[in-house]
Amino acid sequence: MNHLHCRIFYRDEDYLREIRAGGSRAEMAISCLYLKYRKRTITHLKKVVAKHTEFKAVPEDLLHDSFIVMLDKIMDSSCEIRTLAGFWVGIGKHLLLNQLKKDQRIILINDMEEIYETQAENMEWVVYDTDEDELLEKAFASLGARCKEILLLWINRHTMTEIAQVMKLSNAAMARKTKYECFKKLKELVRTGYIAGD
Amino acid sequence: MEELKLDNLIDQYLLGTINTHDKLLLERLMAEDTTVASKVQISKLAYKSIMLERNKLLREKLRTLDKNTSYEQRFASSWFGKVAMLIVVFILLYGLLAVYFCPVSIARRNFIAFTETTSIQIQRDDDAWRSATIAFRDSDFEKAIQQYVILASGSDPSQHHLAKWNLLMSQLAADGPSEHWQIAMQTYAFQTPGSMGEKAHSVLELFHSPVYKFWFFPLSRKFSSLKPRLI
Repeated sequence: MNHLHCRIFYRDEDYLREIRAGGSRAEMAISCLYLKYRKRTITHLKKVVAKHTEFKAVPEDLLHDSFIVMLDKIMDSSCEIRTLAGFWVGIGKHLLLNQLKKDQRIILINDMEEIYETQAENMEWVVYDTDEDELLEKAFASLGARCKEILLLWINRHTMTEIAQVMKLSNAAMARKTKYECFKKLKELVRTGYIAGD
Repeated sequence: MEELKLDNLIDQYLLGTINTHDKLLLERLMAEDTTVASKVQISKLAYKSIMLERNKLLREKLRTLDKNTSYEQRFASSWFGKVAMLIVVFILLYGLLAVYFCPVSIARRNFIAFTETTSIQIQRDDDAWRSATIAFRDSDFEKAIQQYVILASGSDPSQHHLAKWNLLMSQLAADGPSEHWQIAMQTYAFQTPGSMGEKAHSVLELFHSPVYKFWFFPLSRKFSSLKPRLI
């Protein structure tokens, strides 16, 4: 990543605008945003993690997870963001506390059987969530390489014209059609996976 | 509603780009028709499966950025450290050579002080010799020159050579290796037999050595105002 490219971004508003625009503009803004606040955020998160010795994960993982959550929140235009650095740290702290609560819950279940019944519902959700992710990952992995690439471009909000250019398709309409077919295929794989799982 | 239009609405709903009117329409359709609700549900799951892959790729990208950043930092710090060390070594070396080749240092190194041995050799004018030596050691080179001029005019040849040598050293310390001084030194080297003559030659060679020319000569010409401070 060439740092010189990041000089076009000055304020948080520039990052928000570019990330929300999606596509290749967003890709560059994401890298630049990460590089801009990475050091500051990891320093904050390391301090927080140091206070919670029971937290097992490394601060870098927390940094990455919170960054991804932040990107999703940025995409959701309704979310009001004052400063991106503060927002990132806030999400990181929130994720850490959530993870601690989750870990505590699992420990309690292991140690005290009488609590198991009261927590069972939540635990089921946790297990179900992991299983669901596995199923979904498997479904996506079953797709062809071309379909995977098109769907990833689509989810990253590249325009159909951009997708057509990247995938060397004749035009935007062709890209739209291919994306439609691929998504349909994926939905079918997800549905089949769930039926087989049941 | 036709299927293609519904799929488009669902796509917009998943991407979060749907407008309020279409969102209400889709939510109403979902509430009224279970087939639509199930279609949206499956689409959400499919969308989530792509998101999981996207997040995985994004994590890899962030790790790469981390690696590159730490590599750049390490490279920058090591590069900075090496350059800083090189500069320090260069300054130290320059300082040492400047001191070594400084005319005053050369004169002090080669000056023959008045001791018991020399006093036996020269046998007389002890006080004048002692006084000249003290003047030289106190960096009062002008006084030392005056006294060695008187001592050099004596008839004793050993006293003459020694006084002449110290006179040349005092002149070197006072004015540096001027052309006049070099001519006088050359004359002394040719006229004086034995070890003193050899010593004079070696001192002259020092001023013509490439190291002296490289380190001291440009400094004396171009940075004459900086020279005394550096020395």
